[in-house]
Amino acid sequence: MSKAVGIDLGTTFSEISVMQGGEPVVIPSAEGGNITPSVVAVSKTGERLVGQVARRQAIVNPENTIYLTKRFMGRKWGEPQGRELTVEDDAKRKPFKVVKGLNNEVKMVMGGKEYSPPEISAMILQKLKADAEAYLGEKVTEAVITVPAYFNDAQRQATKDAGQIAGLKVLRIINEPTAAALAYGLDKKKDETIAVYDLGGGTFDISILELGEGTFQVKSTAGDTHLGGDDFDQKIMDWLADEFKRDQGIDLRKDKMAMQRLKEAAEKAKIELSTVQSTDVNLPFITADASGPKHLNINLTRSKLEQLVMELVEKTIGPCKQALTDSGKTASQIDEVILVGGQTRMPLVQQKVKELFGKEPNKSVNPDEVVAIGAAIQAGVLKGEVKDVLLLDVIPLTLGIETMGGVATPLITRNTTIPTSKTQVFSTASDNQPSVEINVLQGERPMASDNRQLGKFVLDGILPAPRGIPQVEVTFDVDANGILNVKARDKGTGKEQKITITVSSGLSKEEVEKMQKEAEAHATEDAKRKEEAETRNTSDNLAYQAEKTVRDNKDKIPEDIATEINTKTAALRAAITANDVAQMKTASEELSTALQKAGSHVYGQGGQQQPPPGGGQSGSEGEQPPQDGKPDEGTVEGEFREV
Amino acid sequence: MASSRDYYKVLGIKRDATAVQVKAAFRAKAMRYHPDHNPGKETWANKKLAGIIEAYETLGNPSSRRLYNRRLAEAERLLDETETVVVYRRPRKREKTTAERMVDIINFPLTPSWARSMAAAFVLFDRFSKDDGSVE
Repeated sequence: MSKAVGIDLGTTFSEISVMQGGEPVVIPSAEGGNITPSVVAVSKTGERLVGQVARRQAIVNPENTIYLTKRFMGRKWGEPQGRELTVEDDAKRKPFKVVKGLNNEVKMVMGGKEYSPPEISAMILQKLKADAEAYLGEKVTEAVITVPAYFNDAQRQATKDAGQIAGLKVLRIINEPTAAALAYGLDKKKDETIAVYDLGGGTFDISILELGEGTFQVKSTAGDTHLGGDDFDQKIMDWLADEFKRDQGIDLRKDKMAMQRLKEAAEKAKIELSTVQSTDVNLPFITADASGPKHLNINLTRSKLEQLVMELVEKTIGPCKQALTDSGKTASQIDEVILVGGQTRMPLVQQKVKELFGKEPNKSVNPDEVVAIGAAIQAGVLKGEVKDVLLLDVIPLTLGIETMGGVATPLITRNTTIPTSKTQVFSTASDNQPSVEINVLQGERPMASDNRQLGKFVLDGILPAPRGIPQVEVTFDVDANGILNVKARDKGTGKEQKITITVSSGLSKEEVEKMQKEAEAHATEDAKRKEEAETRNTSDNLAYQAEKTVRDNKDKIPEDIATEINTKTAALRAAITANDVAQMKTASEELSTALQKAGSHVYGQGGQQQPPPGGGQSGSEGEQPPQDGKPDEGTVEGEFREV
Repeated sequence: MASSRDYYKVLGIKRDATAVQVKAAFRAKAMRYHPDHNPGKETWANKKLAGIIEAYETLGNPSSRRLYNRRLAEAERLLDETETVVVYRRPRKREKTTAERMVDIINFPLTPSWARSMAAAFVLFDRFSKDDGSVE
């Protein structure tokens, strides 16, 4: 039975975890380390890079290195944002291009090609999947993926699409704070009321939960899908650029490479200042002008940093207060505050949490890994491996319909526990109105046009009657997965119309399937390219060894054999230069054969049965171990024998 | 939404259950009827769970529970007073339902086949419309 994994697909970092022997385990990446940067790039040679390797070359390749993709998931240019930033704002000041697609979708440009955000996220998921398969030694086909609790339906669907493109069956999309609570509270027997304060790389979520005896019930959730560690980095970058401009008169903002270096330095400084009081930001040769190269050397103190980011930390207060109110609990009734997300390591953030909840936050969980671990546990629950766990989440945003005057009338208010069902009776707005249009909305704003439209359908055949007389019963059904079904029934005629709300992320089903095939093809191509590189390596080693052997054993090797070896080596070198894999393989084999002949001369003096000395060992794969005097056996695979 | 259901029955508890008992009953029922724990019967499970959650939301909160108790008592008082009109206890002599009469027609050996077909259709329709999954 294939394993189902839990994946934390973060804005800046991602992790993958799995249940092993009844315990959740974080799977290390191929490069070592438990977290993988959510960065994707196309190198100058056209190679696709994901994770740590992509991040490392960001400085020299800023235009083709993509990060913060999560900010663009499930979004369109020009949609109503409420308090949040527009796509335009997000795309500003990014070194990579973000452009508009056919229907106002968001497209990201990398290596001259356009990609939708789910495609980019899928690349990250593919890498995590590959790392997991390498670690587990088996295929991984199913996953639970987490999203911020405050993500709307389009954003969730985009995440599901990303999973599908990566070749994963997404068993469930669960909320990040709920996953963290699951990881934290799995062993807790006593009832507890906890608050999960999740400040990650790009999003902020606060959830209040009641847990105990395996039951996890979310009471309320709030957040800001545009507030995270990356914004903190931006503040530092801006300040550094301003200081530099003031001192040296040059605006670094015009230089993409300089800004990329600034970004990394800002993040590094921010992290350091969580443990020390002051740090130097040192970037030699940051730029140059007519008078020569310029260097950046600025000192940043913790107190200055706190001034710069205070406004951001205070932005978390509003949602926290709202979540408390919605949950019906006071701060003193919260037993524990769990910190999730790397940014909560900052002393200022921890202090603010302490002020808000009147107690020291609980730091017993690893803020980077706890969400992935929770997702793995949920995967275990869905596969039946973990028993007696019950997760009851809430809908984060109010669901309603549009009524007369363009008003948004709520049917299910936010923070209602799911599954849930609500029915309300509506009527017509004008005399003899033959049909009603049910326009399903998601959001808190009073006017329909300011909320997100999830779907629309028409119920017709209403018998002529004065307005306000017909009775149309509208039922909203939300299941445990958060899927909304809307039904409208005319009580007079008994006629009914319904839809299941499947929100589009911007990609159609066909598009997702097409991308999935492309991703698969790319993975195969990647594997092929890796094999080519390996062949090239071994060939190169073999050629080198051959040359060395001939050189070192000039006196022992007969003239004709030496010539043969040299010819074959030249042929191999030619094949390497031509980058012809098939040719390399053939030439390698021929060279090995020739070398064996030489070997028998060097060690066995042609015919004598002498075991090869221990000095025949070396780390090179191309080394041909000397045969014990046997005559040429034709084409033989070069085996490495222990002596 | 005005519900005519007895929330105490839904959670399987007595009218005088303590808050602790209400919570424990809710958790047990929720665990039992969660769609994740009922593969293949998700639609039914979702409906059951929604009802359980609704019951707990009222009974789990002291003030809403008080209000609900009052309404419940009121509704029952009305039913008691109009006992002769509303049959909500089991009738003394159990009469045959139409479906059962149809089954008799099917089983009667001398029924013409057209009548048997009509009766069979009726029984099928009757059974089908009852089968909304409410087992309890």
